[in-house]
Amino acid sequence: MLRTIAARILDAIPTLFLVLTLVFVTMRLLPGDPAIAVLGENATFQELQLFRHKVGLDLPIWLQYLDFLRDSLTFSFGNSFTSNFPVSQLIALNLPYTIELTVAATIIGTALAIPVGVLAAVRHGEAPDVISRIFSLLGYAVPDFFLAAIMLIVFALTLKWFPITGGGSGLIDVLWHLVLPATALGLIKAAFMSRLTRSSVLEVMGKDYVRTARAKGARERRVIYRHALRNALLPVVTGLSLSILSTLSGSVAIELIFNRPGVGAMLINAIETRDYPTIQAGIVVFALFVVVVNLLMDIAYTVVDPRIGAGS
Amino acid sequence: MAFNRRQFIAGSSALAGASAAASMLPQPAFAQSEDMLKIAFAARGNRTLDPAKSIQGADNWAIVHIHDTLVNSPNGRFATKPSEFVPQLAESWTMSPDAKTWKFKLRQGVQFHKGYGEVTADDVVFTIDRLRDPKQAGSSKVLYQNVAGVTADDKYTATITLKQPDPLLLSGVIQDYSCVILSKKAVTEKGANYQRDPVGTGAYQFVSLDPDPSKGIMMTANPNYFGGAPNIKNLNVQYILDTTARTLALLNGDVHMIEGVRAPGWVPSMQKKSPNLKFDVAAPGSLFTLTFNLKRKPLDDLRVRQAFAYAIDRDVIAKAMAPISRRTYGLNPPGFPGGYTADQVPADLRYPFDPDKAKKLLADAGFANGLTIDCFTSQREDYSSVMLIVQELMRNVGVNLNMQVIDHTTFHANDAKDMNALPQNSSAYPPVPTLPLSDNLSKFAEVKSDGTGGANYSHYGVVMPGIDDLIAKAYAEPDFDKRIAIVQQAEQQVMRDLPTIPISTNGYLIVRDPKVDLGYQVQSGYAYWRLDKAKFVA
Amino acid sequence: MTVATETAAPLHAAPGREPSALVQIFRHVVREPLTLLFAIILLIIILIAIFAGQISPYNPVQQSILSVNQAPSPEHWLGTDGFGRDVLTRIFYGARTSLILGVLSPVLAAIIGTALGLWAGYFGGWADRIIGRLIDLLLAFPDLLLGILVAAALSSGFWSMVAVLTIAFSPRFARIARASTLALRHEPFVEAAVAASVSHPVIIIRHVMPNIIGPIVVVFTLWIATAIRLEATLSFLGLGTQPPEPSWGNIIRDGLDNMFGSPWPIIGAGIAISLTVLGFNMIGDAVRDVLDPERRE
Repeated sequence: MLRTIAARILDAIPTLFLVLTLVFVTMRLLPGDPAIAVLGENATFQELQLFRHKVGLDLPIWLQYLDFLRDSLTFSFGNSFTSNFPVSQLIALNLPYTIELTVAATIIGTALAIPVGVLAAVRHGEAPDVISRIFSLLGYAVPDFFLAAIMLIVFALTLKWFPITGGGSGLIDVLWHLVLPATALGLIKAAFMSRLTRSSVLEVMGKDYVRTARAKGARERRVIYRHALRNALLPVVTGLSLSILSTLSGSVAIELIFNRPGVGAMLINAIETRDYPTIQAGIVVFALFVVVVNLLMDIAYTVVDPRIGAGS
Repeated sequence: MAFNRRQFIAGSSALAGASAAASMLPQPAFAQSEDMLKIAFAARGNRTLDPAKSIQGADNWAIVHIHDTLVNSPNGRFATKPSEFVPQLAESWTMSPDAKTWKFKLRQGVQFHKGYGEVTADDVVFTIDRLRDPKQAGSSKVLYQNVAGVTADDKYTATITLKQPDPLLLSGVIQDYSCVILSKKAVTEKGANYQRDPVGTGAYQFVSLDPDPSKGIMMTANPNYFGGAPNIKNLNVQYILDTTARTLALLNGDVHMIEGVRAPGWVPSMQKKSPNLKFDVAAPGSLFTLTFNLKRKPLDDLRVRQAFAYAIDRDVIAKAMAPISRRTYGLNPPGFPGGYTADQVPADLRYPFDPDKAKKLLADAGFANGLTIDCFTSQREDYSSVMLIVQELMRNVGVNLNMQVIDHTTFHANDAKDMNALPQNSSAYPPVPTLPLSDNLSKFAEVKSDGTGGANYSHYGVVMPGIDDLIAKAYAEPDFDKRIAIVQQAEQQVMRDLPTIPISTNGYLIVRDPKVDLGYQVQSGYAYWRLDKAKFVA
Repeated sequence: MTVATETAAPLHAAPGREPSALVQIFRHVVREPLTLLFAIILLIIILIAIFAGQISPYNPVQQSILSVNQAPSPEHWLGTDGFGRDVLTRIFYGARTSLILGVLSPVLAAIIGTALGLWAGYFGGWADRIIGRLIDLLLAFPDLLLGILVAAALSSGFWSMVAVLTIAFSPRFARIARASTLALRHEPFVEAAVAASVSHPVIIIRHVMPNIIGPIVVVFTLWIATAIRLEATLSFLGLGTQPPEPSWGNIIRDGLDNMFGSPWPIIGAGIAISLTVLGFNMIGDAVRDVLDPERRE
């Protein structure tokens, strides 16, 4: 297992390097001028030049690239161009909200998806299956920002059950602010994952060892949980990792609608205002997530099916 | 299957129980507390609290409550006569007959917050020198270019000498947010950190700045404020960029005042939704101009420009965005010194809405079959709302504006590099009649393709004779009324030459919860106003 | 990885054999009532998109500033929006934008991605390593993040959207094409052809491509739905189709800003997107059931 982890990390390094290069190129390709974004439309040319000099934008491009690499690898991103806060502080502020949203949405999604998926598989072709299919297709079809807007209007504005904006502070408050956005995301995740669960359970149910267990007279429930579910969970775990990664950045629209702090909102704001240090930091953090999440998934695989760890 | 149904029922009753429990919990911190006034603006977050660097209107709301200027306009409007100005840190002032020397006598005994001592003329000198210093990046430098020097005559008297006469120094410079007086001791001590921990003399003192935009800036009342301690104990400036979120925050009572949305039909729809809301508009606000890049054919043909003037129904635009938008005829809007009203505009320069005349002019210029022009506009709603209407109106006379809507940063960068055929600008000016002219139409402000130029996007005065002589004459004229007369001459020439068309003014809109009483009516002024006399009413 | 030759139906049938895949797909759709329902709805939407010019009651960008935010009425079935434009017409024209983008981008992505993946899988070696890396790199980014970065770099507009969506989807096609090609590369009949000095292009066209088309087509139909959703999201974020051109995403966005003026743009466009994505998903499932039954549900 340790070897797997080490191999994974080594593997990630060239990818990380390529990611950073891609980000650097893209950022420099962005039209517009960070100096104007910071100093405003009325700034004189001299003021703009002063700023560019201060942040090193007047250095030759290859030097900027090297500085960029060095800063990324040492996590020293400096201060945001627009808000003058240290970028690390911005990330420390936004990241927890994104993580808690991701975790909550994943929990809600999985808690809904697995029973629904199993039910649909076990009773496939019958009413529960059809209903689950409609649920999942709807969840997949409805855009997340649309669902979020509807929920906001119904539950927060009209019924006033939940707050409208912000992330909250203090445990209960944070949880309360989390319910609507996490549910909106979670429902959509559940739609994906219930399908996945259903199809992998179905596939596994037809396998030999399940039939064997049944023939041996094991109770139906035991058969499902012990044998089928465990193996069916493997593709679900993959789906989970993709789902988590997509939430980390894909929650942008949700964060905007609910006015929550979050890495997605931070990134898109940074891109729009050409706030290079923040863009840089956001992408590096994100790339790290990819590696970490993939690692965790690998570990999860070995837990679900010990045979895997031994073999790789 | 049995177990699933059971699980489902268990799950849903848990959910029901949880939400019932949630509604029984004590309302958390964000709800109403009558000792804090919360206001929310359309921005991503705080940029800075240093007045010399601030470019974001939302930040200025905090800045002007933490600090004070020497002199101010009365609450709710611009002072239009010298006698109307209200003493702030300066209790009296004089202007020399040649309008080049201004002396300010400071109020005695005014203390900076947090024990930073008394305000003296040294602080005034420090503040203004800092604003003029070419080695410090700032945002309002252009305002201070006319300052030749500033000295402290004695502990409570400061003198500002100017290069050129300016009878309107108070209007254009002294009352500007950038000119709030800073504590020399505090700024020197805190250095770069000052912008996150400002110290002033204002009605509210700075408490904290949270990078979380929904917490924003927290300020608390200054009990020793020379103007009287504010009624409401705490002031909170929040940043809520998304219009839906901001609107809902107001409707839900989470905040008391919000920056409005400058889009057609928005105000009526809000009034429909909640008839008790109050709408405060500081008009005229920003001047929106559509400029012709005279270096691009066929915009160099006067007939084409006149066609635009006849095709764009500026009354309809003003009506669409009412009550925020008002009609303007010249660069100085009605109500400003030198501004024209409908009946004052000379008849031949009136350009009433007349699509047929527009088509005829285009035909005379050789474009009977229509014309296509590529241009940019900004995504920001005050630009795009107006330009979408303009695009439609031009389409009706056969002019196809191939308009790309781009983000605001890029838009301005492109305009500054002379890339736009039809640049637009929305800038707020104080009632200083020479300002919009010199800013936008002086040959010294000509835009350059390397970005080193100014805001004269039309190249007026360079590719065709402009109004530079008149501008120079105006700036050299110490007498206020004579200055206005020269400005009006210039305005008329602009209306004749049409390097730019002033479309409308977009007032700054704040929507207010009726339980907040400002203590005065908002009519005109900058895009911020004072809340130290505000109070909660039932 | 399934080898498609054995189990899937060929796209074009030889005479006298079992019915071609197209017929099978058709039959699948018709047989299941739910799928049929949504397929018909989808067909209607496609027809609307094609004939938007003819059937729309108004011009989608024509404003009527003095009649903004009107409620539904006989003149305006869904009312007017914040600029006085007819909502129904804009939704019709939005169908055009969404469908063109939704179909064109996956087509381009399929062509580019399949070509790359095929090359990597067939020739192996350094081409495979480089392309493999590139694919992993792009796949590491979720669609939206990639979309945002590219959209910001390319500024906005229709063709930028096409580019964004194509870049976002090509890696997925490349990965599938590569995997399928790799599996096939060492199959006896391919090895035999190589040994017989048949030229590579011929081998690729004659032997490899027909067998990887199946999984590609399956993925293609499913990605149309994703493309439409992604375009809507990017337009919602302000990076996609620019006003005044209507797209379902920017109709919802303007609708949210103008929520209290009129809720109908949000409702109309939201339902339109949902129905369209649903329809494509249903068809995609039917396609998958026929062409790649190993993965059927």
